[in-house]
Amino acid sequence: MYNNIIPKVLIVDDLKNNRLIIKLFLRKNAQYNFIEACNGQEGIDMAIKEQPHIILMDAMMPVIDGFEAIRQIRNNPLTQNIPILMVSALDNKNEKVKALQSGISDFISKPLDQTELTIRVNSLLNIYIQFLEKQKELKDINTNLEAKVNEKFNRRMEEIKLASIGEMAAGITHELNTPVTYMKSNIEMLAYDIEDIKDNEQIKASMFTTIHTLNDGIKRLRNIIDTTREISKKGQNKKVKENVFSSLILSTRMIYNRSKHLAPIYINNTKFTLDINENFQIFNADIIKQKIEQVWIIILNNACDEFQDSTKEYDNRRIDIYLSQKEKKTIIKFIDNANNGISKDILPKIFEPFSSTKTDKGVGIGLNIAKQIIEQHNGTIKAYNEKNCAVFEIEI
Amino acid sequence: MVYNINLQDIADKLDFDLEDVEMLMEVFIETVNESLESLKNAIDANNLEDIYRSSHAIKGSAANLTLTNIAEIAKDIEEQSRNNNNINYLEKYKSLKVLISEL
Repeated sequence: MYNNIIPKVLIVDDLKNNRLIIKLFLRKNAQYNFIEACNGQEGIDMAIKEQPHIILMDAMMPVIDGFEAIRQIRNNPLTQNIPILMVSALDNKNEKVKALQSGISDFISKPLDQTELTIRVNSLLNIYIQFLEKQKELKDINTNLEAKVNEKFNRRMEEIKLASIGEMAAGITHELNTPVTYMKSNIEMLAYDIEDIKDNEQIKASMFTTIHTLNDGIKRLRNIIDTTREISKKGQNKKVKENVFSSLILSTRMIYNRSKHLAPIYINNTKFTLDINENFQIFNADIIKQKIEQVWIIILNNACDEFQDSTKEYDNRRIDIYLSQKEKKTIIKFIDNANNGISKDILPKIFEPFSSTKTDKGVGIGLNIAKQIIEQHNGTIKAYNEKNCAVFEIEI
Repeated sequence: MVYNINLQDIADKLDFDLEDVEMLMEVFIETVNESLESLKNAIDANNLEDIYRSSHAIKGSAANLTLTNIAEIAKDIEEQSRNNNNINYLEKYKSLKVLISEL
């Protein structure tokens, strides 16, 4: 009748014969588990302990009467939803109103009629048992939902953790990059100095061996840095509004140890020194800062390479960087006067990979990488000669 | 127990087996005598509140068993006491006692 549940019926009445007649009436119709209490207080206690499916409550009882018992049952979260049928011989209208206002679900008068009692009890039981089933379903859904949310949360935490590790790796490699660049350029300088040694070929040879080993170590470090960068690049493709001037200063600082021996660098006509404030000028643009810095380093390194082969006196050398903004575009111009501009043979294919003439300074993909990065910024990069100078002009 | 009233009549009215009615009658007589005693004490003490409670209990129990004579006297006592009327409750009690003892 109730999905195989035998309903638990709590009868609260101080008179045994009244409890008995209720049981006899109901038993004729269906199976129930009866529990009995002989006053209001016992009724409250049993309702909490036994969690019946319905309470049949007399009104006038010793200790605590039916009205007070109903009030307490309704105020207790453990029992508040249990249907209560008041069974009473109250025939005064005011008392019936009082009963209905006390929080009962239904009312039935003594003398009891078997049919009426059965119908009222069963209809309340039907509603309540359905309510309990729905409540359980809802609880199951909530539990499932909680499990799903937890699973999603954990997965997201894992992603965040991985992303943080990636960011940390990117940060570390970025920091490593600077000292490695110092080392590289200083070893280069050292090699020139060793080259100048005239009187002791043996020491010279030994030093070159050492330099070779050092270079090997640096190459390995570079490899680690580049690989880590490549891996951590994922998720770092988000453009953020940043000061392009600041990115230039940071890149120039990295190259400075090398460049200072080759040519002075001027940024918007201010001579670069290590103590220059990176936010001395502001040129904001949406950039992936680490990638843009890579472009500046490539171009500046190329300029340095050119000066290495230059016959110009140091005092006449200069690398100029001009920053300007025009109609939401930022324009960065690199100009060097190393070798009267870029050779006409190279110029048309300068951004193609492996087009370099440099035999000992890398594989010649630097400018190609630079071009890819600039294109990723929806920008343009051009190379041309102007007034016997080599010019790289970038617009982002 | 032998009753002066016809239990089969009650069984028919309530649609019960005779056995059930016998059991009910037994329990009823046990409890109604307790209620009668409470009623007598309340009348002696002239405690209208308790007169009301005891007569209310007797009324309900008797009505359930279709013992209308008893239920009606109990109802009369209940109503008079609820309205704070000072009638001769002892007389009413005696009538009740006779009816119950005659069962």
